[in-house]
Amino acid sequence: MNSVKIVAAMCLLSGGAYAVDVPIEGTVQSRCTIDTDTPGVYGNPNAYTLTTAAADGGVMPITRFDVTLADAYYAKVTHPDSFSAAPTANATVTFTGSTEVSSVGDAAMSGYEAAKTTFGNSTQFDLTESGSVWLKTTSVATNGGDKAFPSGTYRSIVVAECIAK
Amino acid sequence: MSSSLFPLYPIQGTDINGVFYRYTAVKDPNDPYTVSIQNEAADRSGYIFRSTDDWSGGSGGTIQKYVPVPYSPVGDWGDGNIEQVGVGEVQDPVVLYSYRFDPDRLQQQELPEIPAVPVYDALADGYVTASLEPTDRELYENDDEVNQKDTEEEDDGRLEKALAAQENALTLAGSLTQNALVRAMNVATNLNTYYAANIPGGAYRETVVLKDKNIPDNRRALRSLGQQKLHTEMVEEQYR
Repeated sequence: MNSVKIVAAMCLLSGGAYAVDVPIEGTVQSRCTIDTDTPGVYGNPNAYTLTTAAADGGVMPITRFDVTLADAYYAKVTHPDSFSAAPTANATVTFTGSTEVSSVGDAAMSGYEAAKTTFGNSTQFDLTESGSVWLKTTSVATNGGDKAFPSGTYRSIVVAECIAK
Repeated sequence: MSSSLFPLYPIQGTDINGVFYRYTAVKDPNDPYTVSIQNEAADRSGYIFRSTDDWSGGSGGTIQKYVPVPYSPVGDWGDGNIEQVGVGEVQDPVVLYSYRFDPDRLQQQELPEIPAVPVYDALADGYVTASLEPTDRELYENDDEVNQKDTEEEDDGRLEKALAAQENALTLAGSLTQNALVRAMNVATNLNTYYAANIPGGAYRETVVLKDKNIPDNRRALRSLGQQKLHTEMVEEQYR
């Protein structure tokens, strides 16, 4: 009878061991933010061209990049290659464009324009300084065969990205 | 070195807490060039704000910058200027100040005393009331006619008097004498009238005739007097 009790007590003691999961959380603050400074507007200098050039009645979209950590990010801006909204789908529209520095928040950023790289529709800037930089984008859409664009609203999108080095 | 001034106007209760500026620096990448946006202290003790951009080694460009500063009264801020050192040019500069305004710190300005202005009461003005008199044309015309008649009559009288001046001299003297005589005659006549008055008189005889020879006493009155006497005696009794 006594031996049975001892075995039972040993079984109870061995079942009391347990484990606890301790969580670890952390928040990474963004050190590169992107804001739309000025939305773009297409001008219509002729029936078959839409352009953001101010001389043609357009407004160039301006994107602001704020970087709090120097030499840690690239600013990549891609001008559109299609309409996101248009009265009718038209595969003959040719898109061109470019992106350049509009203004800088520090004189040390004056070299950004000269150091930028272009590939495809994208333009990339090396953000070597902390601070703000404003990038403006030109977009020109030309209808094929110099045909007039159908009337309606045309919309396209400039994609701005902050890419960590 | 070159600089351009821009004034900053002091406004009571205003504190500046930041400066935003934007300009385009045009320069050759090989040239040294610095641009300073600055404000002198109002007491000329130095600069209360100064932000310098060194464009040396760069190709220039447009810069826009916001520089926060501790809140400081705008009265402490003197005129601002853009100072350039080196070879280059500043184009399209814009300098803006952010501020807060506290209306409670506005000093009340003393208002000048308002001078007492006499109130003109038109109804108390004699000229006005005179001008408000009824202006009936007929009245004026009647007045004019009367005046004209009077004037004519006066003229006629004067003329007659002038023509009869010589004759009237003796006539007036004679009339005075006659008047005196007539007046004396009248006085005599009046007196004689009173003296000659004859009052008809004689004896005025009694014409009243009493029919009854005996007039009896009023007994009721006697009775009333007896009651009155008794009452008086009773009243006087109580004071004895």
